[in-house]
Amino acid sequence: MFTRKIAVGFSLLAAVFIFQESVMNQFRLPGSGFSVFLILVFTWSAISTPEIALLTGFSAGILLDLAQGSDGPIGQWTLILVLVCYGVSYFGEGNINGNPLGIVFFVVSANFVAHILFLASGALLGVQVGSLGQVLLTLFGTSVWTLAITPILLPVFSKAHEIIFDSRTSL
Amino acid sequence: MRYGGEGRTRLLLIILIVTSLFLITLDLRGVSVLNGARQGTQFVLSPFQKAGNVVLTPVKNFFSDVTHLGRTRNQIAQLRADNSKLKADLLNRKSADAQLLQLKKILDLAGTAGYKVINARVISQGSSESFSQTVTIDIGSNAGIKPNMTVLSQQGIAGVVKTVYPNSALVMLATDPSFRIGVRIARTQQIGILAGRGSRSGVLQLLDNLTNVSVGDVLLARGSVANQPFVPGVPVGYVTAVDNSAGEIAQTGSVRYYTNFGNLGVVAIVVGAPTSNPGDALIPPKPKPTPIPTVTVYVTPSPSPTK
Repeated sequence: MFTRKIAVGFSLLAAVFIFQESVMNQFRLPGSGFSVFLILVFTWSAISTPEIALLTGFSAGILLDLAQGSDGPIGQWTLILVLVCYGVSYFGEGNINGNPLGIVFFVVSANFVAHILFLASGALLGVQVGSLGQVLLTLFGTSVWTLAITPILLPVFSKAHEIIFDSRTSL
Repeated sequence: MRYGGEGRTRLLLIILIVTSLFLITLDLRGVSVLNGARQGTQFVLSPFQKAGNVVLTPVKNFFSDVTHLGRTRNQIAQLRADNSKLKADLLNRKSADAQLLQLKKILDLAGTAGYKVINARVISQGSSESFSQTVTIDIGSNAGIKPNMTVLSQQGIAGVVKTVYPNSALVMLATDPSFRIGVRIARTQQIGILAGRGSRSGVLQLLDNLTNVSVGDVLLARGSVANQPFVPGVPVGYVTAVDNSAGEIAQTGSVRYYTNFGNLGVVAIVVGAPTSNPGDALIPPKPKPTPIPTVTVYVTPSPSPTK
C-alpha cells in the first residue's frame, strides 16, 4: 500500500517536473520567476509526515539533478531537498495546524533556504552562480513569486496530497 | 511525531543524505552512468519541451509584448521614422537616377557637337500667374552663366537664358510665345523661323517661298552671331503638319519639339560653342516603327442547312 502511494506520488512529481521544464521554463519572467515543482515539493513536505517529506525531497532532488539546466553535480539538489524537506516537515509539525498562511510561510521560507543552500554548496563545489547583485535579485524575485503563487496552487496540491497520501494536516 | 518511529525517520534521513553525498562523489569522479542518466532525462524531456515551445510561442509573444509595451512603442516609432526616411531616400534616389539619365544624354549630345556645357538642375517650373514658359535653374552668374546662352535638354533645344542671378537663372523655354529661333531643315537646308506657341508644338515660318517642307523634316538650330543666343546644330524638332494655303507668301508648318518640357530635371547651358559647325551630326535617329501584326482570317462558307 505504501509502495503504491509512493509510486503514485512520484508519478505526480514527475508530471509536474515535466510541466515545469517544458511549459514554465518557456517563460522568462522577471526576477527568475518561480518553480511550480518546488512549490509542490515544499507544500507536500509541509503537510506530510517526515518519512514522506524525505522521500519527496529525495525524489524531487533526483529529478532536479537530472534536469538539463542543473549546473551542479548530481546529488547536489538531492542533498539540499532532503535536508530542507525534512526541516519543513520537522518544524511544520504543530506549527501549521491547518493554517494556509503557515503553509505559505513555510513554502516561501523553504524555497529561500533551498536556494541559499544551493548557492553555498555550489560555491563549495565550484559552480558559477553569477554576480552578487544578480544572486540577490534572483533570491528576492523567486521569493516574491513564490509568495504570490503558492496561495493559488495550495488548494490543488493539498487536494492531490490528500488523495494520494494520508494528510497530516487537513486544510 | 504522530506516526512514531522517530528512529526510523532519522535512519531514513541519514540514508538519504549518505546517498546524496554518494551521488555527488560519483558525479565529481566522472562516473559515466550518471552522465547517461542526465542525457536520458533530456531525451525524455525534449519532445515535451518542443511541444511546449510550439504551443506557447503565441502566449510568450503576447506576454513579451505586454511587458515590453513601452519599448515596443518606441521601437515602432523608431521604425516608422526610419521607414519614412528610407522612403524619402528612395524617392530621392529615383529622382537622382532620372536626373542622371537625363544628364548622361545631355552630355552625349553636347559631347557629339563639341559644346562646352555647364549642367544645372531645374529648381522651379516658373510662375503659374503669368503666361510665360520659364524654368529656374540652380546656377547663375557665379558659375559663369550669362544671358542669351543656349540651354539644352537631353533631346535638344530647351530654351535660352533670359535673366541671370548670382546663384540662379531664369530660362525662357522654347515653348514660350515670345521665343524665336532660326532653324534650318536638315533635308533641304532651307531656313526659317520657329516660334513658340505655349505648348510643345511650335510654328515654323519658312523664309523662301520656292522650296517645300514635308512632314517629318528635322529642324536644327541655325546658330547665331557669336553663338548667342543659339549655337548651331542643336536639334529642335520635326515637322508634323504643313500649311499650303494659297494666300501665304511662304509655307508654314507645325513643329513638335524634341524636348519634353514636362519632365525637365537637368539641363545644360552652353558656355562654349564648338570651333566648327557640327552640321547634321546631332540629328536624332528616326524611331523604328513598331511592327503591327496583322491577322488574316479566312472565312469558308458553311453548307446551307437542309430542311
